[in-house]
Amino acid sequence: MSDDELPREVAPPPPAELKQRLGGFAKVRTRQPWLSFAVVALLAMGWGALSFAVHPVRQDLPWLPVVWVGVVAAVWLLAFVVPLWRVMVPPRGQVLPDERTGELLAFVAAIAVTAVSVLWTRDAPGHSRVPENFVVVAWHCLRFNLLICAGVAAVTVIALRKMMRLSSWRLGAAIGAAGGALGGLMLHFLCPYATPSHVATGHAGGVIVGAALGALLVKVLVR
Amino acid sequence: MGREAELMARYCDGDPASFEGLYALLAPRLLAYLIGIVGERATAEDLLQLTFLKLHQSRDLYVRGADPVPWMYTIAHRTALDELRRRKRARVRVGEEVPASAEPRADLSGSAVEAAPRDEGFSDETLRALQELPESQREALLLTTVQGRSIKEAAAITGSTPTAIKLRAHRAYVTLRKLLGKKEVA
Repeated sequence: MSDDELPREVAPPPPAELKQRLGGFAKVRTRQPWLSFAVVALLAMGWGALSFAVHPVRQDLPWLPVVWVGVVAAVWLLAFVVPLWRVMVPPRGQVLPDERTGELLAFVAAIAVTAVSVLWTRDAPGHSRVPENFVVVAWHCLRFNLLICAGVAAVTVIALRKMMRLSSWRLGAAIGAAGGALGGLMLHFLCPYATPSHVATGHAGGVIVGAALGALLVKVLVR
Repeated sequence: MGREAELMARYCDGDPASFEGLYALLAPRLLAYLIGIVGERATAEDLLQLTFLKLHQSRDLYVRGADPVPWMYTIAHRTALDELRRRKRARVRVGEEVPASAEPRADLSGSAVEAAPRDEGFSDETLRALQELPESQREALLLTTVQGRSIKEAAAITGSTPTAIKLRAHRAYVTLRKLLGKKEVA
């Protein structure tokens, strides 16, 4: 249907009362998404980095393969940065974020970190630890992860506060997944437990739980 | 840069005339959409004003050079959804089904508004038939077939998926044809 064929209502001109409610036409600073993204990412990483002030680096780190440490850290970093980027930076020519792609990237991030955790975990025999109580230790790491995730979510939501009202659960899922991935990145350097089952549940699990909680919170709070 | 993007940029720079230009350009389309969603002109006009007020309050969200139209449709859509939810809650409190169109409405000056004649737009029959559709199907049909938004844009505006939009729009079209008993929907 062409523009000429679209049903058009004859809209009244902006009423005087609307103009009064608008309260003036001051110049505003428009959004610079890449700058906002950089600021949020840096603040989030700063929040995550605080954990190094509280917890010692994992004791088996010097004995782990450098390439493995680097590559897995890169996977976690990408799982944090990419969904966050999609949330903060809209596609070219658009104002609002591409929530659908954000959701997809969150899903891919969760799959990627879980796969790496299950299929490519390394330990240093004699130096890495094995969890004495699987559930307790996994919960400890998951709780840490969610704390990091909460900080990331808070910074992101503050940056996007005016947009949240227009958002769906998909945005929440992407934010939660990004936060969980940052938590996983921190745990990669802090957590001395190196079994695949622990890393998959306590570390990668944070991405999945973060995404689920993010989706739920946005759905409930933004109605 | 499209006309709307140009006007939006100047509006953000503090030009009141650009706001009026943007209003003149987009208000008819948004009003048609809102009438289709809520089913009555007076409420739709109120929602239109609210949409532009929300736009004004959040114009610092604008990204220069971007097309503001899908964003404005999203604001209008969410504003209409809030109104529909408010009506549902009001009906639950009253405890009986009250046809929305039976409620007297006032314009912004406070006087009662009678049904305003329309130069163009939906016929009363089409409007009634639209209100028979489930909300999600009505939105999908209005945005795609009536308002000419792309499937992807309609999905972004409603927070849905392109596949869901296509399905809902198709179902809405089929149901509307049956309700109106015509071969082609205007």
